[in-house]
Formats: sequence, C-alpha cells, structure tokens
Amino acid sequence: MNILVCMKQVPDTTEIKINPETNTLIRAGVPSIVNPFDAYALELAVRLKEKHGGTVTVLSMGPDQAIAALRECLSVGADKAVLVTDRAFGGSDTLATSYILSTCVKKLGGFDLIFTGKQAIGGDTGQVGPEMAEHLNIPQVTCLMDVEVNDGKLEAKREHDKGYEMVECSLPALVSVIKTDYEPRYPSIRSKMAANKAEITAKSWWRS
Amino acid sequence: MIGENAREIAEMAIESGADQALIVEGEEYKTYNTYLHTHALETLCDKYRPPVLLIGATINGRDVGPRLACRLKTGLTADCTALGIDEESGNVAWTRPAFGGNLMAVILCPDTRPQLGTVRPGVFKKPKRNKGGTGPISVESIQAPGKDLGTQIMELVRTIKEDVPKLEEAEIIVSGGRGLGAPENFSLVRDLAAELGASVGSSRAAVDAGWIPYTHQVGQTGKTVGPKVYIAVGISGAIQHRAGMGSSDTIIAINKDPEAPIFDIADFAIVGDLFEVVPALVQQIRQSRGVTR
Repeated sequence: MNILVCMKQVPDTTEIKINPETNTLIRAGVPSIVNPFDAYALELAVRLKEKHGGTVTVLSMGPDQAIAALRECLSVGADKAVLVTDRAFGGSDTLATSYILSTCVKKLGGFDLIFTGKQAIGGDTGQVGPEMAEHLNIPQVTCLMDVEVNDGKLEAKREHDKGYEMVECSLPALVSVIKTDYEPRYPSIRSKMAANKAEITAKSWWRS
Repeated sequence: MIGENAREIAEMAIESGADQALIVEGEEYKTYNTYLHTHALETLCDKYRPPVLLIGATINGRDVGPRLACRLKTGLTADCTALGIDEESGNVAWTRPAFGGNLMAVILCPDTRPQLGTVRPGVFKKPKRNKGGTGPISVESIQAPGKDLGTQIMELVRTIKEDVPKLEEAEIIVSGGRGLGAPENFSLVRDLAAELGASVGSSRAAVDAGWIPYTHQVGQTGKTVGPKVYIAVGISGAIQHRAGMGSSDTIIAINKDPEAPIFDIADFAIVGDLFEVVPALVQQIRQSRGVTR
C-alpha cells in the first residue's frame, strides 16, 4: 500500500488572540501545529502501513515553516515528506489548493490511498479533499471514522447523523478523516532525531 | 430534490414557498452516492444554468458540494450562517464564521457561475407551510454516469436514539464535561435535556474519558453548533470547546470554578456544584410547568 497523507500546518488556536480594535487575528508569535484532523489521518495511515506494508508519504502545501510540521509527521511514522511551496500559492482558495495538491499527486504518482483530515481548523471548509478527488477522478469517503483494506477494496466506517455507515470503496481512493479511536502517537527521542536529520523534498514543478 | 421520496419533499418545499421543484428519483438514488449525486447536480446545472445554488451543509451536502464545485470550476463557500446580496456587484454575499466564530468572513464569487454555498442546518427558521401551495414539479430523468459508482453503502448502524434533533439543528443543547466526574453522572445532563426537549452534547474531555460517544462532542474536533440555548454543565470552556459553540444565542454555564473560561462567554453564570444545581434546576422546571399547566 502506497499511502499519501495531505497535511496542513495551522496556528495553534489555544494561543489565538483577537485584536480588539481591528477584530482580526493576531498571528505574530503564534506557534504552529499539525492540523489535528490531519494528525488523526496520519495515525490511521501509519496503522494501515504497519498492517499491510508499504510507505506513507506526507505532502504539504505552505511556506518553508511547514517543514517543521513535516518533520513532526516523519517522527510519528511517515516515511517521506514533500513540501510544495511558492509565493504564488499564498491566498489560494480551495479550488486552487486542490488543483495544486492533485497536480503534485499526479507528479509523484503511484498512490493507492490518499488521506486528508476532515477540515483544517480555522478555515473549517472541508473542501480540499473532495475537490482533490474530483481533480484525480477517484472515489472519496468523507467523515471517515475507521478503515480497513481487504481484497484490494476499502471498507470504511463513515459518520452518519444516526450513527455510522459501512461503505465499500474501490482503490485508488481519497478519504477524509474525522476524529478516530486512535490517538496520534508520540514520537520517541530516536524517531525525533531521525526526523530532524531527514531530507525533505521541496517541489516547485510548475516553474519548469 | 434527489432521492427515493423526492416527490414528497418537493411538495413540502413548494408548500414552504418554493416556486418550482425539480426531482430526480429512482432506485439508484435510494442511498447517497458521491458519483451519482454529483452527476445529477452537474446535469441540472448544465441544463438550467442557475446563477446561485445552495446546498445544505449536512454530512452528505459537504461531500457532494466540493465535488460539484470542482467539476464546474467555480467557488464554494462552506457552512454559511447568513446570506445577503452585495449591493455594488449584485453577487451573493456569503457569510461564514472562521476560527470558531471569532471572525466572520463575507465571501463573494464574482467571476464564475453558479455561485455555490453550503448552508449550516438550523440557522434559518423553517418557513411556515401553506398547505394549499402549488407549483410545478418536473421530473428529471438523468442517466447514471456509468457502472462504476466508486462507493457503495453496505450497512447503516444506528447508535443514536431517533427522538432527539441532531446537535447541529437543535434549539437547546445541554452539554456535560469533565466536571461530571464519572460516566454515570451523565444521567444528570440527560435528565435536564429530557426536561427541555434538548439534545445532549459533551466536551472533548468527556469523550476522551469514554463517558459518551464522539458523535456528541462539541468543539473544534467535534460538532459546530449554534442553538438558541446552550447549557454547559461542568465544562471549563477551553478555546477548542468554545470554537464549536461560541455562536450560540444564549449560553448558560454551570461550574464550581469561578475562574473557568466558559464564564467569559456565558450570558448566565451559575457558580456552584453541578450536583446540586442541576437537580434543583430540573425540579424548578417541573414545578413551573406544573403551575402553567
């Protein structure tokens, strides 16, 4: 199983302060974290890899600072990390972001399963995942609670207003993950050190 | 309307003020499928070219919305809580909360059509139904896009009792947190909720402790709610929780810690032991009912 996890670095909202005069966010000095839903997605992806073999690649679009978040992902089970970055991407809406990320997916190639978090905190749109699936012309399961792969098919537990539904899905596919029963693991000192030394690919294909 | 009972719902929509309804019905639409529903909406958009399309921000609405927006190469505003018209341009002004309601963003989609938005359930009052209302209902027959449907729902497992409204649509929510101390004490929250016809919510702490399933969690990694009344019982009010309920009309907080951050946003603050306050509240509600009846 070759798995891709799309991850966004977000400001830690426990630290968010509002400027009372302008009523806007004060972003300066606010620490950044891996988007919580993406952390659940990564944990689920790593568990699948541990069971079925394969690799987990983490892809993020953002400024250079996002490398810190990618290293965090490497320290908790991801094998590779790719940053896609360009000044021109600043201010992208969901359609633009999904186009950029899906283009990266095509260039990297060979993924059986793509994970995203349900939504990024702050924006809370939850649109980039399904829009990527549309660009890639693959099926999607949103609001995923748990997942298993059997006989080359995905068996997904999906949130429902009255409980949950079991959904079967062909591969390749994209899933967006809500909070699961599996708390994201903590890194060990050893895995943290390895992640700090790891090489992170920064891509800017569209310039060529 | 797409689905098995599309006609019934179309009639309801017309009685509620719609001028016209389009229905897509058939066996294949009995359960939700991303490919089928996206294809049906795409076909209708191509045929009727609507300048604006609203979709409910339900679990499935937020599954099909972005898929459709991407196919039509247009913008989609997620989870709107207010709608208006931008006077200068005549475009829809979509209002949505960001950062847990700390900021409100107004979004325009000036260059592409249709203008798409998903609208948060429960933020608008349902219009009064006029039983005599009539209007054309056209049946649209739409060919499935192919045999490969990608996903198939195998089973629906119900874990939630049917007689309470969903958290996102509830008018009153009673939520319990760590202050309850033990899973069995959630019965206090349930009693109060039952008395008010309210839905039961919880903080993340109570979910993580295994006292109540995740479907009840309100907050940043749970549900975003906006009821008329939100009663927080034994919830300290971490910013992640407030992100999910800060836009409630009236917030009543019961907590024994006067410094609890929930009191910063509460309209009514009850500083006291929830094990005394909640039963007293339940009794008071019962008594006042007895008097008015």
